[in-house]
Amino acid sequence: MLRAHNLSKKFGAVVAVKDVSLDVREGEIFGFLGPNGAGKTTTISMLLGLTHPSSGSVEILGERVTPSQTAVLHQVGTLVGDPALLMPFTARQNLHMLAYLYPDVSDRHVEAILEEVGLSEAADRPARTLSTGMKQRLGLALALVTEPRLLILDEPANGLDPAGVHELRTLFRSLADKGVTIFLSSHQLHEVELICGRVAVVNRGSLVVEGTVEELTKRSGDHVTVTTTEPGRTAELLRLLPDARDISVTATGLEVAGVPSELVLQHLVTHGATPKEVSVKHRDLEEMFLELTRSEPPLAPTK
Amino acid sequence: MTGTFSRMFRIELQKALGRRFPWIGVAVLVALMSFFYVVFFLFRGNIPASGTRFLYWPDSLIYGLGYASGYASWTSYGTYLLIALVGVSVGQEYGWRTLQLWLGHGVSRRTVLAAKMLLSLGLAVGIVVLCVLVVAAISGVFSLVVHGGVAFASVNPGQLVAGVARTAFSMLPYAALTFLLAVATRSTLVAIGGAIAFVAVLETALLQILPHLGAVLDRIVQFLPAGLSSALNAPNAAIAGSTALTTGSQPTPVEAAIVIAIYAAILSGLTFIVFERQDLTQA
Repeated sequence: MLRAHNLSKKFGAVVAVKDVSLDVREGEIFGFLGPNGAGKTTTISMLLGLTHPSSGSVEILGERVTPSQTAVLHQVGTLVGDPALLMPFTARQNLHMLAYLYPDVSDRHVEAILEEVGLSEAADRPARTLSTGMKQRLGLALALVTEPRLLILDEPANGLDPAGVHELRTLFRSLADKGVTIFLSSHQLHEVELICGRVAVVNRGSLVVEGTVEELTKRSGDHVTVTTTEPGRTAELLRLLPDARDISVTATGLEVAGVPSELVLQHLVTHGATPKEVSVKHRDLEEMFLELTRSEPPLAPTK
Repeated sequence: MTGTFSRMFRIELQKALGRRFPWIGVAVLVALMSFFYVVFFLFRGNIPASGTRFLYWPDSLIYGLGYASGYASWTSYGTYLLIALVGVSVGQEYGWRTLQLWLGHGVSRRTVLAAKMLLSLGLAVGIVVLCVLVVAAISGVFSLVVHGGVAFASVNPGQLVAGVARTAFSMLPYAALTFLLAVATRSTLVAIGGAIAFVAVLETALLQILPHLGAVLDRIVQFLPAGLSSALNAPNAAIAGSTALTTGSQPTPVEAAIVIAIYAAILSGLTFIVFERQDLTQA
């Protein structure tokens, strides 16, 4: 459905994106994660032919996409960064103008989309008078009005209240059920975890990891929580384990990552320590994300 | 491609006419023209009788073209309106990021630009026609008051259409310059300010100074857009009894038309090149 092969973008000496490859499959909701400035928007702009890649290629629905070759994007709905709106025109006029490019899109469909994104009541207000959340809803409506096969969305939940975020989740699920593929860039990791099948994480311009949410949360192992009255000695013992990392003292004992709980217990007992409890603390996408984006070294500027 | 282009052009037209700004510009243009025309009429006693033909039908119709472009940059209000409309039409799309909207839906960059350029051409023709209509209405009243009737039968439609076409064509370099500035700088303000500064300050200064610095420079002045416009619109000026903008030996209307086309083509070509190479990540 969407393939990016070794995409790179340099702005002078600064590498904004370096060798990012992606493969989004038909019908899936694919999460694209990364901290601010990681290169997400630049990558998406290259996917849509808005920015010239320094190297690499993009294919959507089997057709090559470049800034001068974008015909296939007729089948793609997009929302990149702040919504692109014709400010003096009403929400309804914004939708009709874009829909006019698509002979098959009916007036009834435009009205249905307004209803679907919750903008029916504000449909006749100029876009410039809409609140941030409403503008975001209109941006989404513009992405949906053309009945796309692929949606490429950059932070679609920006400015939405919790109810709006919940509606968005429901909408994405229903679109995916209809076979629409969704490429979703977001900071809302909990939402991504709830709706995305696979995710890719970029940091400092490079792809750090890609896989299912389950694979990624298991990737670096769960944290093991040790409840003990001797945290100092226990920490020293755990440091002897070759794979142990991220050892941190807590109020009730300590936590360690990189080693299974059985090995922790066996190691401590063997060395005469007697922990009160050893338990496994499952990691979520947010913890995995924070760990991955914190530990990656910065990219050196090219010369 | 043709289908997308015609649809994109219709959208451009809707965007240009469906908002308040252009109509405010039109109102200002009409007010200025009306003001000066009424002042000329009220003080017509100070003008030799042979020089007042421009106040009445049919000569007034051709004279009205000068308010769009042609005889003097300081009265070419239509040119200023065209610059403002083109600057807004292109520059604001960068501010609103709506270029990404069209491009992100598979409309090619060439189609987007070509639709906007066709719109600019349409706006130029529309502004010229507007100038004629405003003058026609006012001078129609003057004709009724002074001559007791309007000389409809004396109007030469062919001459009038040719005059409109010549005048609109002579405005194209300014539209193309504004277009290029808007795309290159992504700023409405710089585009409009830069183009108006060129017309009202730089070009006007060159027109005044260069002819005094030798025959060669005097000849060069004739090939500035204003000089070419003056040459192309010389038949209009002759009919309307106006004086030419430049004093030296002008190019022929055909030469002027060719050089104007070259200016417009070069500036438009540069605009296409800049736009094709532009990254629109966060523009």
